[in-house]
Amino acid sequence: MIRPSAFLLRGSISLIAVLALWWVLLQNPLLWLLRVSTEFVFSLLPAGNVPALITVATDSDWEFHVPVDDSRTPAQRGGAQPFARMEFSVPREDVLTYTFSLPLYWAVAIAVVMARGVTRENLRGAGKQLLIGTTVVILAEALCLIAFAKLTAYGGLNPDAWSKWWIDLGKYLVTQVLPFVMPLSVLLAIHRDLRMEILSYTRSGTT
Amino acid sequence: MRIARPSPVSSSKPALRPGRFVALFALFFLLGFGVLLAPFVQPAVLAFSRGLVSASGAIIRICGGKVLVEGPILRSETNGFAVEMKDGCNGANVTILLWAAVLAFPSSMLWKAKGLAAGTIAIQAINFVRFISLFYLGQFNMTLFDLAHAYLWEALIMLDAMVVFWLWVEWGGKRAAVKA
Repeated sequence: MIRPSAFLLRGSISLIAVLALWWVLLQNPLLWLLRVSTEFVFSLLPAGNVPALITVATDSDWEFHVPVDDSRTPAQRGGAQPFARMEFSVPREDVLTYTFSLPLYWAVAIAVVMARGVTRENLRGAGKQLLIGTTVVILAEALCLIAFAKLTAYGGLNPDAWSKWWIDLGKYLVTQVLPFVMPLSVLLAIHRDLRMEILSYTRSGTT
Repeated sequence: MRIARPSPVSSSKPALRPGRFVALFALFFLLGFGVLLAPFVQPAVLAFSRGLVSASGAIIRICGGKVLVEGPILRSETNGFAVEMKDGCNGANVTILLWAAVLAFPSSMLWKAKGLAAGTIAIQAINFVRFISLFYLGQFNMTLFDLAHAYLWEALIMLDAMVVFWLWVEWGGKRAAVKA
């Protein structure tokens, strides 16, 4: 059984430790991983067949080359040709947010092991869960970044007020909320005993 | 062979359909953030942020500190360092997530209402600690401030919200067991 107070204490300690490790050592490797995974996931999507979604400028900012479906009328485009692609630059510090989900997931996954007790049996199961969770978080980070890129690109096409509101909501969620909520959601999805402990349920109607 | 039987009345663990919980959580989550970002809500959000900054200033003064409150900005009287409470710093994000989880979880309306109220108070108490600690950390070291502001405190407060929800579920289960 995992106690909430034990989980919170261990989670906070492991979060500080993993965050320090990320800040000092892991930023560049995780940025590289994010770029590679994003390109891979994007290539699997429809209309993802582009030479490179992301290039890294000399000042380390990320330049996005996002294909768009410019369905505006000629009047809305001011007579210009429809855009096939939108290009924009994002500072490295802003992209870095998308690499934080992985250390956050590792920190809370470690907290689960510490709260359960560090035994051989617990560690064996935890290793497999950590691997699965890490893979899921990497893919989810890539999807968040792709969503951010697409929303930014379509936001640049001068949408109407209602579309702009949806774009702003989407960008807010993928930049301010999902990078922090997603690792905790993956933790609950993968760690069945923690999920059942927190949601405090039994399977209804079966024994 | 599994035999279907109803859950015992005296069980402290209510039946939960995880798929239903996730779907309702997602619905309330989207509704909550949709309202938060609606233009007509922005004046209320700004007023709420200003109120939090005033309260933070009052807490610091009670503890002997010297600060000025300028709307959503908290400024040190000693060295002029200032922090501004913007969207995301007022705990609204995390409160919406907690509310979505409480509303999605199967329980009585009264217990949900208690969870929403007590959960909001708990989150805002943690948020006060966050805001005031960042105010002093920024005067000490800006690199640590950036790290704590953008990442550490954001993650910690999300973790705290998850534990607050966990405690609310646990206490609700114990109440049900006692009543049964």
